[in-house]
Amino acid sequence: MNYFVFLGLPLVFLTLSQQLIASPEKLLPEQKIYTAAAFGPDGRLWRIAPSQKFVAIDYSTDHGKTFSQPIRIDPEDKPIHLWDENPPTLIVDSKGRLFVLYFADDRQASTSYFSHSDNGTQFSVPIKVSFMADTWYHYQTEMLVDKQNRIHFIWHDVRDRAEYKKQGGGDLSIYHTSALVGKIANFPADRRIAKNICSCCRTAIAEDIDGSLVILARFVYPDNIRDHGLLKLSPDGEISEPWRVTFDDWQIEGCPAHGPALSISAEGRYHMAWFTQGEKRSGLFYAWSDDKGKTFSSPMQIGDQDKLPGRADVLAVGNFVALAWKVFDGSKTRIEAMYSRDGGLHWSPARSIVESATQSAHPALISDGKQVYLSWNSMDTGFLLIPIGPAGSNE
Amino acid sequence: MNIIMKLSKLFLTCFLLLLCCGSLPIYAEQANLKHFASGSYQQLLKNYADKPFVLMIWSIHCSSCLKKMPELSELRKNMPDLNLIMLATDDISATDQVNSILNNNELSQTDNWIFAEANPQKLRYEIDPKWYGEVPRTYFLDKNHQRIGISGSVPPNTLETMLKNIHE
Repeated sequence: MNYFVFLGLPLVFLTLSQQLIASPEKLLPEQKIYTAAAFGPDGRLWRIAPSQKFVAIDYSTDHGKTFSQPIRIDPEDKPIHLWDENPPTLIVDSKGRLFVLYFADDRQASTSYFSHSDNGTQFSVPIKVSFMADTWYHYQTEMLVDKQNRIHFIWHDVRDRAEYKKQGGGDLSIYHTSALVGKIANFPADRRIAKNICSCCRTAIAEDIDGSLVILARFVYPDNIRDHGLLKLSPDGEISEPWRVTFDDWQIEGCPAHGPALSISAEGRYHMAWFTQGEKRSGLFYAWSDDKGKTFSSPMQIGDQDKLPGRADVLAVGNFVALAWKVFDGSKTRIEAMYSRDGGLHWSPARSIVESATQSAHPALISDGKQVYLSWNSMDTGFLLIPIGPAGSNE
Repeated sequence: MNIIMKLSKLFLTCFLLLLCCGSLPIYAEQANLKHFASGSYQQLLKNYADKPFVLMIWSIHCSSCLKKMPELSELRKNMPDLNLIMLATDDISATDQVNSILNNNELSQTDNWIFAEANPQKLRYEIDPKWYGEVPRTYFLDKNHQRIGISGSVPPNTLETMLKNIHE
């Protein structure tokens, strides 16, 4: 009898665990290329190193040549769910505290998780960012720590689906939550800050010098025009009406899956880069604004039109502004970059920086406050940190 | 004791049966999802040599694509001779979801493909060096394989015109 009881019980667990494993969430390939990197106040380069079942954090003291032993964020395995337009985010503040945002499959695919650490030696138990994380699909979350030590999250959320059904254009809402940096156990109820957002294009976020959050997103305008708009969230939580800032007239009922980039300099100049295939303008573009985004300079076209230029990132450190983007020639992906030393008025020639023959992440620009670097990862090159512009020239 | 033993045996048999059933592959209602790799586009042109065809490129994450599915299903019923090829740009790890969407829309019998190459950009380029990857993307090819590509959901009147043009 004992034989059957003892054999039967493990079989119950085996059957149950098989059902758990057989859930729709599967391990996704190539999660490891979606890294995120940020410099700490001591010059260390911190990095999110994802795998298929967990994300880990490591650091480098030699600008990315070698890395420390990685530390896991979550001791429990979960299918990590990142893609090029849905990368993780890492922020290291002036005190060396780390803030980590990543995506893993839970009750909803690619649920947003947050964890933090005082010094990178151990991390808090990851918590879900969305107040309705278990019931509504949400993704493309962006994280920012403002100068008042408040941590903000904005994300794409499908919870207002019924409202959009009549229009049926694949649009959704941006939700926002925030908390004071510290021992965050959970987040307060979130709220909608924008609607009619193009569902598949990542939104960009930056802090203005007056402390407001500036959000640049691809909106779905009437007749399925997918141009960009800005909106602001003031330090006291007031949400502005969004206003349109690109007028390319890209009419498409579909998924461009190609979001914009935004950086605001210490002088308050807005720098934006975006992709369009509009009636009036088509390609990859850059423009700046000195009046808080009310008006922008005339768009400057970026990249070789025959090589599918796209996925631009922009970063301003003082008057130094860098742009990096992707091109593809049929066999190789290259990251090209150029820079300006006068706040975006004049630009260096575009230069090819690195190439890959395999799948790769979007280029990201980061800074240690002195120099701007490309942070990039692909299957054949591995993680790379490459300075943009002549070394030491952009101080 | 005897009853307990018999019950245990019964339970064990049930568990073993459950395990076996769980691991049996399900063949019914599965779309024949072919792997689209480097060279597959040229293969399609050969497969449909001297024939007009429609290549509809879509993704499980694209709401505009999903919204279009019932319409395509109707189209197939109304034009059974139409060469309709459907290509999902999702990773092969999404095979189950792709199959389920095709089945639910009675599109499992079309010529179905899924991206199966580590670098999807390479596949997109082989199809069209001017295509950035936005979906849905529909190509209408006449019998000489002269083609027109349209990004975004194709409105019904455009669809009608395009189908007429490629079959002339």
